[in-house]
Amino acid sequence: MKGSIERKTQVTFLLVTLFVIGTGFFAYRNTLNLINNNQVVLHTRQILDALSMTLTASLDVQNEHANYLLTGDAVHVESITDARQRVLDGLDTLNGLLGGNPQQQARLDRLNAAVPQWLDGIEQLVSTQQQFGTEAGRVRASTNPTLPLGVEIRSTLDAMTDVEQANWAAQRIEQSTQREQSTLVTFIVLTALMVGLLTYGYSLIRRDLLGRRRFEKLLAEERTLLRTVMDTLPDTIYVKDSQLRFVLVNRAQAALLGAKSPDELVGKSDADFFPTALAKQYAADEYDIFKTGQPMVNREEPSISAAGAEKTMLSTKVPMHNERGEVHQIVGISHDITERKKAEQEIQLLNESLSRQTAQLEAANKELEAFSYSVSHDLRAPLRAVDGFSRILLEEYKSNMPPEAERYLIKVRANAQRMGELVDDLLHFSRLSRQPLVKQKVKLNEMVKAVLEEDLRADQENRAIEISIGELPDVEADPHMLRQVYVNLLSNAIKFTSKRQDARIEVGAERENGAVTYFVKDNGAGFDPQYVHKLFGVFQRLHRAEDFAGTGVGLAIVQRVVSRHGGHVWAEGAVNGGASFHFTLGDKHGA
Amino acid sequence: MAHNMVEILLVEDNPDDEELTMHALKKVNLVNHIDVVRDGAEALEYIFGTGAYAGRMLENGPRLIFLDLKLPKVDGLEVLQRLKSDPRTRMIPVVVLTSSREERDIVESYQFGVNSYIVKPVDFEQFMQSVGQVGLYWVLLNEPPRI
Repeated sequence: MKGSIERKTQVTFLLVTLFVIGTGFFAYRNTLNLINNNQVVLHTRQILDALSMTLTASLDVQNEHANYLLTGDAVHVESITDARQRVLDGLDTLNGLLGGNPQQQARLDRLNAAVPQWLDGIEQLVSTQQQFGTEAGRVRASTNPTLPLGVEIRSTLDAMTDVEQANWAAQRIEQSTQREQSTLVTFIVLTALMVGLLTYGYSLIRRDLLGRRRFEKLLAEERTLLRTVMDTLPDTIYVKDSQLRFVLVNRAQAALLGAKSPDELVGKSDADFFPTALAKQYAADEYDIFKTGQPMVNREEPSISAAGAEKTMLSTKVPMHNERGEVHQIVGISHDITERKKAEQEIQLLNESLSRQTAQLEAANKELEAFSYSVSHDLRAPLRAVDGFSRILLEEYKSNMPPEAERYLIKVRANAQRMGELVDDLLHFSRLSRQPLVKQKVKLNEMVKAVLEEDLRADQENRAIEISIGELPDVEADPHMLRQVYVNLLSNAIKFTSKRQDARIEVGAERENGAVTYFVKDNGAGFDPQYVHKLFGVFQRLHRAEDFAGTGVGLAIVQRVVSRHGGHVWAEGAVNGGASFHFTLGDKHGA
Repeated sequence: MAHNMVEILLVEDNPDDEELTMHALKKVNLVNHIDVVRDGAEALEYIFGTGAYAGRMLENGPRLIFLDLKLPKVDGLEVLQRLKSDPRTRMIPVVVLTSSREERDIVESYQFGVNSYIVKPVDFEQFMQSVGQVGLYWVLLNEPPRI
């Protein structure tokens, strides 16, 4: 049987009640039966008594008549009258007891017909004898047809007595049988059922009690867990009723408000702890939640600890509903973001200072651009004039000029042109720093070939150089700038191998731990490693101009381009031992 | 070709550059019909026959303009823009002649419709070659369409 324990218990006790009622009813009915049965037995007994009385009276009538006939004594007439009356009384009694009894009706009818006839006959004989003497009575009696009726009446009464005696015996047997069997069995069954049901009911109640005890234990454990969780959290947690009084708070909240234990706060409210303005602000927000049923999520709120430390809390307050769906409490949790807030402010300050610096840098960059523009125009014009007029002098006044003067003019022109180159290289370098980086996929092998065949064709004239180009990966880079890197590295390599017959240049790439390193190696003049740190500076040169020409900007350009791509460049070399230049282009490069 | 027809207008504020340019043009015999103006404003007055040049007819040339970019008053790019946006002067070839190698200048010049762009080199030999060749090309070899 399924169903709640209450239902089961109810049904069990209802059944027990029904059985108790049933047993009572059964006992009542049994007693009634017994009483009834006793009455039946008594009734039969009365019938038997009446039959016996009637039979005795009828015998008395016959015997007294006989005696009267013999003696003629008048005493017998009185006895006859008396017996005759008793017979009639007995018949009356029998009619009363057996009226409507089908078993005896036929016999009773016969008695009712026969008895008066017989008694009338006896009376006529008696009166004849009184009038005409004993002899006349005797004669009349011997011929009277009614006398044999007495025999019939007695035999009928005997038959009726037999029937009633049989009834009586049967009724007695029935009585005793009822008592012994049905009563006992019924009581045993009912009692057993009741005991069974009571046992079942007890087990149900016991099980329920045990379950309750287990549930209470679980409940207690859960309450402890909730308390532990709440008290372990560093955030403050609080439950408030509709009057904004604390119902439940955790340890963090107690600590913030300077209470020794959370229980101390129950029944109090924010107004007892915070400055009025602050408490009013909280109350306004919280009444709003009660009114609208809408939670307040992640609101930054000012707060102040019991010790007076100003704090910023990130608070979420949520309505809680009772069974009727009304907001009856709110639960809030506040996270201390004071440190984060401070850090954010610092970051903001840093950002502001950074954007100031950026603005300054941008201004400086603009100035530099204006400066470069101006240099580009204004510095070159006088140089052009110096060179141009020297050229005209040399061309048109050569015949009037001593050879020494001509030599000086040639020097003037050479220096003007050299300065022009320096200015151009410097502008080129500054342009590379200012230009935006436009990255795209670059096929490095093709680029290196193009550099050698186009940009550096003139440099290789009348030279026999063995140039080997290894497998170079495709890279994401600014193609224009990257080309400048190879132009400068390769033109250096070609230049510094110019004094060797077996000039060799190797271009390649190495992959190590996923990072790609690119290199250009030569077996040329090399450099003194102790000056390697000066190699990449603007206008820094490690060779004398009469040995190798150059402005000293090339490697500075290489370094600038590489660093703008997020990589770095380094060099290895020895005097007359060749030089190798290596660079990377940042982590994301290399295919 | 009319006798008073101006072949070339040189817009140049630097007298040294002017003299060197004239020298270069003389080398290729283009010196006879050259006028020189010193700034952008004067160049516009000259070309459109206004101000100091009121009454000068556009039909009298020039057939080629050498234009420096860095000029007093009105700069070279603005002069170029005015010339190329006016239907009367749109067809006159303009050769920008400048010290500037700045990409910005080059790109803008081409956007405005410049015909040639020469960076004045420091080396005078190269300078003479560039100016002479471009001058000859536009004046002698390239007959402009009639206006």
